[in-house]
Amino acid sequence: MWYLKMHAILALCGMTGVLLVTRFWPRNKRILMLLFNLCFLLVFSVKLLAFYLVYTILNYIGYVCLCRTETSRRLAFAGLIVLNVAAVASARIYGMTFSVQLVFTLGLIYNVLKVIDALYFAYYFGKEGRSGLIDYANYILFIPTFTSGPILKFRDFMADARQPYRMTPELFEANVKRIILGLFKKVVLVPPMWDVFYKVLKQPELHTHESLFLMIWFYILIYFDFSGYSDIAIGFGRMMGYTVPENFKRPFLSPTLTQYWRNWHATLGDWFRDHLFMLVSRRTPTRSMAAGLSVLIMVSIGLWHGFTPLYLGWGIYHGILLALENILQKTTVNKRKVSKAYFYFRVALVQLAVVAAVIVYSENNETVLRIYRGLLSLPSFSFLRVV
Amino acid sequence: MAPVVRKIAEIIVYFLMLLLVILCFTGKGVFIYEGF
Repeated sequence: MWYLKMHAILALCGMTGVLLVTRFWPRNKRILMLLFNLCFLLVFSVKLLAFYLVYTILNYIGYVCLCRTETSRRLAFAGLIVLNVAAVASARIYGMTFSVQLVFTLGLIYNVLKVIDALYFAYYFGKEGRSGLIDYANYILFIPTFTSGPILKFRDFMADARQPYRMTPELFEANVKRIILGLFKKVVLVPPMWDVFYKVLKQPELHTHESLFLMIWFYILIYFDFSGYSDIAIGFGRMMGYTVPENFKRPFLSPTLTQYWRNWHATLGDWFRDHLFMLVSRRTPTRSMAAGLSVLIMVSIGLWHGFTPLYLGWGIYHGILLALENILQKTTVNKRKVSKAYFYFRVALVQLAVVAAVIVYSENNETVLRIYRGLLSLPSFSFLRVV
Repeated sequence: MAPVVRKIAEIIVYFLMLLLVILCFTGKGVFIYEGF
């Protein structure tokens, strides 16, 4: 995590301190936040600051034009979205061969989602939805969630921006605990878990039990890693006076895949569901339409993670499972209306389906394929081995 | 009495977690999603 360095954490704590002692000038929150966001980027990299200044200003111009324009609104809306998606997609393809990782490692694929959310707001609310440059820049450059979310909603962020900075002892305590918990996961738990992962992966040949272990271990690891990061981001974000949404809502207890994707990396799933659905239709979807949308959403999420056949396959796999749940009308299970045994059976099924594909998130295609090949490598099944 | 005991236990647990964080802090946290 790029800002998981002592000086960065101290800077975030310092910013919280500054906000806490300026309670007698409560409306300064926005200006202080902007100065902090810009200084933080400047300390990290001058090029990064320059890139994000241009990126934010250009997108703000597009946003304001969309708020104001009376004619060809739909065309302007679609054009701005296509421009943003095309820029990120082409840079991403370009970045696979050349080194433009700096911008990507620092959150462009997350920030483009925020830019698009602001465009939706501008399109549907017009002049009433317009916000000032300071708030818009804070929304895009908000340091606690800058690299990897949780993805903030434009409407919620702007509502918070209008509120003066407030902090109660209860909120302060909850946020400090949240930050400590996140740091504990990221700093204490995750590094030794990686060591174990690589130790097993180093075996010259993987067998079924080792591959299974790696897949389950990686699933737990990625949970601690990402939820730990989210805890830190949520804690600091809320300390700075903005409501940062939850990213993980007890995903291990989801009885259907539909519910699972509302609980695991929830802000990403919500973003794609809301925006793609609004793009296609604003009416209640039929079963077949919901199934088709599920495939479209999961394939989009897969490709958003990376332009590789594995991510495409991951998206199709989850999309088909979600589509089946929609068609069979098995998208939810009410815990109160079913037996405990049935509920936990469904929970186990969902976890099995997720574990089967979660390894795709690991570092490279070769590792993923090696682990999958290892699954078929029991002595009794050796005739089934692919390689 | 119970809430007080719970609070003290909570403080001890979080303090220990923070202590471990400080002891293990290397500043080289590798974040899996950064490569995306």
